[in-house]
Amino acid sequence: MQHYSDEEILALYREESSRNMALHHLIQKYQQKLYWHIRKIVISHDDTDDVLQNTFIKVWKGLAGFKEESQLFTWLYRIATNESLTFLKQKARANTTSIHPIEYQLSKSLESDTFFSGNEIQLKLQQAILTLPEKQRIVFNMRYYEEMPYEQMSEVLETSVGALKASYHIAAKKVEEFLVTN
Amino acid sequence: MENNDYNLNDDPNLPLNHNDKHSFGLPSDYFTSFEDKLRKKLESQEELNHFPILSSIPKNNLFTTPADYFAIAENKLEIKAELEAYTQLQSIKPFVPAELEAEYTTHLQSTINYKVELAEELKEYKTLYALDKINPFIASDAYFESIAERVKNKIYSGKETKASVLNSILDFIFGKKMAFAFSIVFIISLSLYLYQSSEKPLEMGDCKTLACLERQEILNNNKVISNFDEEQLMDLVDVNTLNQQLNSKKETTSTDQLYVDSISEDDLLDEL
Repeated sequence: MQHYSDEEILALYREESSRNMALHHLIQKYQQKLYWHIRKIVISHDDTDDVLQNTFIKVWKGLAGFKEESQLFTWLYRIATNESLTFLKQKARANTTSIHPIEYQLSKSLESDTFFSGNEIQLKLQQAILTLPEKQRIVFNMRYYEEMPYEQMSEVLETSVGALKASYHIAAKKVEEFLVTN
Repeated sequence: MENNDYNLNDDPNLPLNHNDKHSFGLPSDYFTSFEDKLRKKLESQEELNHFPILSSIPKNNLFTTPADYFAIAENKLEIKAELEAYTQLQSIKPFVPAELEAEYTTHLQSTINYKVELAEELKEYKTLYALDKINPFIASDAYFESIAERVKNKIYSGKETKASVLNSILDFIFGKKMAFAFSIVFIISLSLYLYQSSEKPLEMGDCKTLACLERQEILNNNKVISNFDEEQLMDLVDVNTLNQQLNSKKETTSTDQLYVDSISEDDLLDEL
């Protein structure tokens, strides 16, 4: 499917008459990328659905003030990342019955998740990733799965390239150790 | 004459009809078809003689074919001939790939280089490197077909997440910044309280002088009073009341009235 370019979408948005079309094309273009990015953070499909919708709503509301200082893609990614982290914090706060941290609960939920099709080693890998601190987990997912360049990651996460490289290196080492010892 | 170098019998181009008289071979029907060929040639030349300009133009073939055309054409014909036996295959239209984007080839090299860079980066982590990099998560059926509609409905219906305001307040209250600010304020407040309680002035009572204080109260605040110099003690003391108290002690001793100026600090403390 041929997607509109970011400039075309923004041009459609600026016109009152074509704003609806701009929204449609924006969602069509970025829904999958953002979905998989969010999914790797919040794990559950249903939670991802909620976060994705909230992300697009926030994007839509903020699009009028988008100054084009960064690419539309990095701006969307930044919002999606922040929404995912906010969601996890709220979920952790709401879940007062469990003594385990939220990452442990997510890890356990994977085992019985119908929307998880990985084999045993893939499950172990996801559990290893869930042992990482939030920021490292995001950096790892973006580099390992999404193969995003560090420069682009730097714009999304507003962190220096050097710090991201260090973060990825530490994260990969921890994942490696987890896989070897488990 | 015998030909020692070349045996005409071996020349594949010559289906030879050997003439016993002559050593050279020639095609078998050469003489039978010669007259016919010559007659046709003479006829075409006679026709052209009627068109002098046309006959003056050399009969060169100016048309060219693409390189290897005949070789490729021969190949295509061979393939076509092979397919003749397979009618089903013949009925299938051959796949014609769409034209590549203009920038594809220019980006291809950089894409490959980047993929190699990613693989090199991952080589350091042997277990991770050995794993297949697959996405183990799946979405529900037709999810991506429906998400756009649901988002649009949510936006245009004006619905927001119900707990958004409350959640933002809770996020602010329980945030790290607030916790840090509270702890700083608490530490400062505690420090001030402890400092002020150690510097707390003595209550003077109704007469507002040290003379009205009970002895025990003074002793409890000995540390404060001991820091006072003579002049400060003088300022605090109500002279009349002090004189009265001092004079009341003179009943047992025969002393003259004490003058305040002559009273030393230690005496004041002792008397109090």
